[in-house]
Amino acid sequence: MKLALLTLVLASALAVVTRASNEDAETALRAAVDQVLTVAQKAKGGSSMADQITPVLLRHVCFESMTRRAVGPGWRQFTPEQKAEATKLFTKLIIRSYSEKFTPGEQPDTKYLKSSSPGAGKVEIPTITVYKGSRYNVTYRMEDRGKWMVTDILAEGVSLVANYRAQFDALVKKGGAVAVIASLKQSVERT
Amino acid sequence: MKKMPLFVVALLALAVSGCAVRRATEPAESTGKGAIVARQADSSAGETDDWDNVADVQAHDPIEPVNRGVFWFNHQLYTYVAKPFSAAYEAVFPELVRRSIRNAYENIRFPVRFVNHTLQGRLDQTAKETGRFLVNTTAGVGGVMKPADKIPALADIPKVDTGQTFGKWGVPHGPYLVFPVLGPTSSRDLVGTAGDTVLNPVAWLGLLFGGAAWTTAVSAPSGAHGVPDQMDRYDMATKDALDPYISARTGYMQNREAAVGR
Repeated sequence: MKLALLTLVLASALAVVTRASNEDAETALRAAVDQVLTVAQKAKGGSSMADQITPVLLRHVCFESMTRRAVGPGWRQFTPEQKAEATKLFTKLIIRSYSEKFTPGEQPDTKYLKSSSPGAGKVEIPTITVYKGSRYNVTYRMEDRGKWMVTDILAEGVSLVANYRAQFDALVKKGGAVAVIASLKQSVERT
Repeated sequence: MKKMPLFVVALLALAVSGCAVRRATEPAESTGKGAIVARQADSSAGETDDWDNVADVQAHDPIEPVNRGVFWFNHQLYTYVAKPFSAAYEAVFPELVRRSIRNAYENIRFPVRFVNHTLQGRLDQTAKETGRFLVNTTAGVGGVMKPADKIPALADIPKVDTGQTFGKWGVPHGPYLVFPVLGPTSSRDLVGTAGDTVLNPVAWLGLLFGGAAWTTAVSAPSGAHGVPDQMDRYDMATKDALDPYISARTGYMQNREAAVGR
């Protein structure tokens, strides 16, 4: 009887903690999206957009985690310097790519759906985003890294991290960290 | 009629592919005959991939060199034909007109959604689709506007198509294919596209009055009017990719897996 009661209390406490985590993550995501949109509205597009949006994204997106997971198990072969270099380049690539998605004057409308927690310190928040009259399923993966940060974005089921991982896989097999960094440099320099 | 041999080839390819979804715990080399590899992070990968539910979907691509050739051809076509067409289309038609055409086209494809929700046994969604169609057709003036979006119960109905229905029935993808103009597909989805075409009233009109070329132009996944959106998506998948071919292929497979999982 006591055991059943204890289990019930623990389960209730866990549910409360999970709900609180989900709410915290959602609050952080809403703040991030609002800040990005505010900056995007003021920017004029192109490289100006990327420059202005960078500080906001660095505050809310954990690019280190994103790069590590995009590279996958091959990350263990990287030296600390190579890890830092790859993260720097990947960050630049993703920010440039992300900022190109905005058309000045177009305001996306985001509806936040019920979030879920696949594990401790992780929350997945699905949204429906209406942009230029089209509806998109966009899911944000958040991690508690001292504060809640975005670590992956899935647009219509396509994970940014998994998509790059498929590309990094071949490079890691071919030439390890050197090949990954060379390819990232090439992509970043490409206009 | 020109589609017939392609349809037969696709069916044959699907029949002989003998593929299945495998997990990453199986050796990568053993996946040669598999349609896709849904690779879940194993416990030893915790350091690098701690989202255990992330499925890294890969394609079974037995004719990759050929597909890459067609992908290159499509890239030239998109760059030198489709993108200028897209720019001209956007210059000629204001956003409101483009949106109205897109809405009307989406509305008229109602039979595709009705039949596939029903075939998937999701009768609640069938009922919602019917309600949405009636509201948009009447209050939305033939589907040009989407007043159903303002009704919460009718606003967010999952997208559905015949390839997705096959996936839900457990039909594997079969080999990954890249077709000239149409782009990436799998054998299963190719057959699905044929099913969508059969269910698309615009295609019926095309067959009656315009012939095969018209049918293809207007009943391809999003029709000729959808070229700007398609080009946006193509750019999104390839522009900042390290390997645009792999990016487009992975994106396609993930998108379709998500559709089947919805």
